[in-house]
Amino acid sequence: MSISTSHPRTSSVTRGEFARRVVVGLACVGGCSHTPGTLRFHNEDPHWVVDDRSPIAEPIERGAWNKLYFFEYDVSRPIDWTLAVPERRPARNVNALGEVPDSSWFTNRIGVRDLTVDEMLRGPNRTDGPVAPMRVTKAQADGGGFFIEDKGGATWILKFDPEHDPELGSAADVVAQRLLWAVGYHVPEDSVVYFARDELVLDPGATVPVKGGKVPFGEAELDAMLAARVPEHGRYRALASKFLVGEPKGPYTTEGLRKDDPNDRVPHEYRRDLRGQYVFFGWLAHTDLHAGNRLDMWIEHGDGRGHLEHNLIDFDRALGAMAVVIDSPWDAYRHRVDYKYMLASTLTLGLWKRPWEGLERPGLRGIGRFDSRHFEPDGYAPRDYFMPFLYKDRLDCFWAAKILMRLRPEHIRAAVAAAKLSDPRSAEYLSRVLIERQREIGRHWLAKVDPLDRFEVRGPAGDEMLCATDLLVHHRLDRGFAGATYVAVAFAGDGRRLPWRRTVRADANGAFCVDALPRGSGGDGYVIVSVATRRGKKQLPPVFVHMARKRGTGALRVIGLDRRL
Amino acid sequence: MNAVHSQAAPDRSRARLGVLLAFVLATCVARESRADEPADPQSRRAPKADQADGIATPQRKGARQLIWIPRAILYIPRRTIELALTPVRLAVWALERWQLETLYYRVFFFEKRTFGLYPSARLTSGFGVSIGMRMVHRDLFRNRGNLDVNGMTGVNYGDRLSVDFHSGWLGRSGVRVGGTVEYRLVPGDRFFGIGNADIDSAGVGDSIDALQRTDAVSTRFLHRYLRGGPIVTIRLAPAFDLDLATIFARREFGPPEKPRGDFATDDVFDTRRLVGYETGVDNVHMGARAVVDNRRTRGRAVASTGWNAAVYAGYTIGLPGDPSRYARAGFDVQRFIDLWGGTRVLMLRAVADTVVGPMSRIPFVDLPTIGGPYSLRGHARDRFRDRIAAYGTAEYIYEIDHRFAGFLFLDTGRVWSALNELVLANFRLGYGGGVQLRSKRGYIGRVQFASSIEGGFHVDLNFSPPDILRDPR
Repeated sequence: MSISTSHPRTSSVTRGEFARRVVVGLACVGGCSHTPGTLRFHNEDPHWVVDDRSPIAEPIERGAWNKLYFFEYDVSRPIDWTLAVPERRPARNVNALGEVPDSSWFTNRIGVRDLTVDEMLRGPNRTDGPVAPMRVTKAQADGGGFFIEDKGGATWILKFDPEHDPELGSAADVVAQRLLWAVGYHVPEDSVVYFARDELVLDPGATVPVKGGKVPFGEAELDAMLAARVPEHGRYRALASKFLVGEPKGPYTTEGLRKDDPNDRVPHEYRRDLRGQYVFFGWLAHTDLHAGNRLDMWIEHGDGRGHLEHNLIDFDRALGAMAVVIDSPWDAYRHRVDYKYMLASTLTLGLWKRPWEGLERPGLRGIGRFDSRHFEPDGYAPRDYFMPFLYKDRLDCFWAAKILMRLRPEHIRAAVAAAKLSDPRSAEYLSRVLIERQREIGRHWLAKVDPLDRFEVRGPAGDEMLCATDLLVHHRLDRGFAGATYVAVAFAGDGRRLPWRRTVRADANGAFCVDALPRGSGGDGYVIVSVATRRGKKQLPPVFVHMARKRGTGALRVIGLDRRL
Repeated sequence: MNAVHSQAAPDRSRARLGVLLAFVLATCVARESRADEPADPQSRRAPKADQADGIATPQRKGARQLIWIPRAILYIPRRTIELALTPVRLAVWALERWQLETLYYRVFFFEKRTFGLYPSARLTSGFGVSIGMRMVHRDLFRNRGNLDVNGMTGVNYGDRLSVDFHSGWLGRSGVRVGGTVEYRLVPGDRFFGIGNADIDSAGVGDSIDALQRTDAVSTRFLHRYLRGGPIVTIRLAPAFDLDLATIFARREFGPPEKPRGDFATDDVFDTRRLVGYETGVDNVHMGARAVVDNRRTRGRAVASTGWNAAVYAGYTIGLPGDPSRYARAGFDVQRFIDLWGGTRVLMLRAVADTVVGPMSRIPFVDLPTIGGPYSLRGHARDRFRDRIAAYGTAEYIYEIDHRFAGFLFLDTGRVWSALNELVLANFRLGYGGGVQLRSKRGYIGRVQFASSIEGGFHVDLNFSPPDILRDPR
């Protein structure tokens, strides 16, 4: 902004205009929500893939260090984080539209394309489970299962359900695995399988770990393990989880970077795909997030070089199963060491209704402590503090909720069907609760920011229109509102307000367009359109849609989104 | 020639200028092309993970620099806590690095963990710190019998060694046999006199006749005893047991080893009037005790509903040379009321203890007492003693989290010299609260703060594993 210092009458800017600019400028110093500010995007299509699979030297395997992890993330780190007063920063691994590109951490699936019911039913699985005969090589110390090699040489772990709760863990795992795969995470191939005793062959060198070592695991021990389970028609039910491709290199941390992985360039607490897990895991009541359930796998390219793939494993305590297995009704509502709850209980002498009180099991086979009536989208807490959740903001949760809402009821029913629950009432209950919880999440997080999405430019050159969708309306979550209006104003690339304004309403699916977009500034016609949603008396901070003409074709398209909190 | 040259020079200059301009133009175009997407998308390289945001010019930050103020204020507390947690972190690291827990169980436990060794510690007002070890065998005779050997020592607490055992239920008989042996040396056990009087040290110096019940003075005496005997338990019905016990006791008394600011008992009281003080006690008690315990846990609190009640009666006679001859009876009834969700519980307790017989036949240490960390809290241990003692408790227990519970209590009680002097007046009142740590099996330990109208502040920190709702004495 330039102001002539000669005689006022000859200044290039009038007093009124000067005053307006001062006011706007002062407002923008604090992050003014009604002007685009200084943010500008490169004139390029948003990136949907990042390069984090470049070959690197093989990293060392990291131990899980469970006890130390529990101490750090149950006791020490939450206190330290609070006292450190960390600056909340937006996620850093997003593209110009605020979406998470495909990477070794996350692959866009339902978020960018439709999935068929058959795809949901199968998930990432390439097979239906291990092929008999299955050679037992090692047993788990707790008697909950054993490791096998199947006929094809693949290694699996077979895990049984809790003795007095058939189908509980296996169903929870498969449902959660299918759904997390659908939203984009990297998960193992998990299936519910039934096998007969004679399909198992004991490896002569099979062992079972005990305190201070391991001892042989023989036929008697195997039979004792199976005797604790009740077969159905002579076949035992188990969860079969196929070993991930590659070589395990231990867990990824919840903060910082993996120092021996040059591809790891975004501190994990600033990854939207990790922050957004708050929404997905809350939906599924998946609380077992300890280090052992986050696994980096080394994928070798050759010559001792390769890259790491980042995976989630072990979901058999989701969907309220954890609350049953360890008798913790508070599971998914508070942390294992939750200072906030302890303080509240101490100060109130326990005289307050905790959110999980009244939550009971439905009395159906294979279903844990899981319902929708006691569900609070913003009330989820894993057992241990997960640092990305402490850094998350509403945009991270909006991103995750958007993806979640793309799952249709038939997708959810297909994931539940994969769990092979024997009681159809259990399957119906689980599907219904998941759908109800999904809608609660959508209703909550899509309303926290302006829920406009799916921006695109349509129309012939010179007469383009910008189209968008109100996700709250699209997903029928805008109950209680008379109808929203959308107010659009435009700015040139240099920040000047343009003489253009539109006020429109959406159709029944939440879609609307604003036409006759103004010409922007610069050779690429950079233009910014701010769209604000007014719902009743409430107006959320607008979305600034940055557009520019593509070099070569001259077509106007969206090159960036700036969502305000 | 010169004209040709002079005409050719401008032509060459123009050509050079044209080439230069073309070069510049091409360079600019090329540079813009690298900043934008190439015409062929397939040749487009994917950016690194932290370079995909497409931002050319970032948003200017607002006035968020004031964040340093709370950071500066909280810096010292943050580092202090970090420093305090460092040894714990190192301990956890060492525990995991060298698998110390595995080593501990391998050394001190059998594989099935039915036999173990625990450290124990206690801090009690008036008796200071005591530490010890506890050895437990939970499968004695391979019949789920129990052996519990507990040794504690402390400067003011003294020494204690106890052995409790039982055989487990013998087949389907519903009978369990066991016993107890306890040796205890208390260098400064407490005696305040007999009766319900207020503490008054004004008249100290004379030999007070405690049987007059007019004076209460805080004194200490040395108390050494050995007691033990067989116990038979008969299960009459589920949650209903009958204990039959014969307990021998030999006691000796004398001046305290460490008075700790209190008077010595024999300096204040006429010890000839305290039955057994000068000659010692050598008696045997035979008694029966019926116990009903149907406590149930609904939430993670130790007990949410039910009763834990005991009624007992017995008779004590002295061995040759000992004057003891009296009957004893009493009850201890606890009622747990689930107020809300199994995690807020009201515990009501009523206890009465009485001895029947001439005072000359009742050793002073066998008189019923109240006062201490488990009965009439907020008062010193054994603050009141007489023929009849009774107290009541109302305790509110609430869950802080699944391991910790807080509790608040009110205790009231008093002693009387005889049934015909039973008046419902001049009750003593104690109050306080604390926090208890529990596991799935029950109490692990508790810290309790108590006071009373009489004044004083009592702290009890106890990490012994047993159920401490009952007075363990």
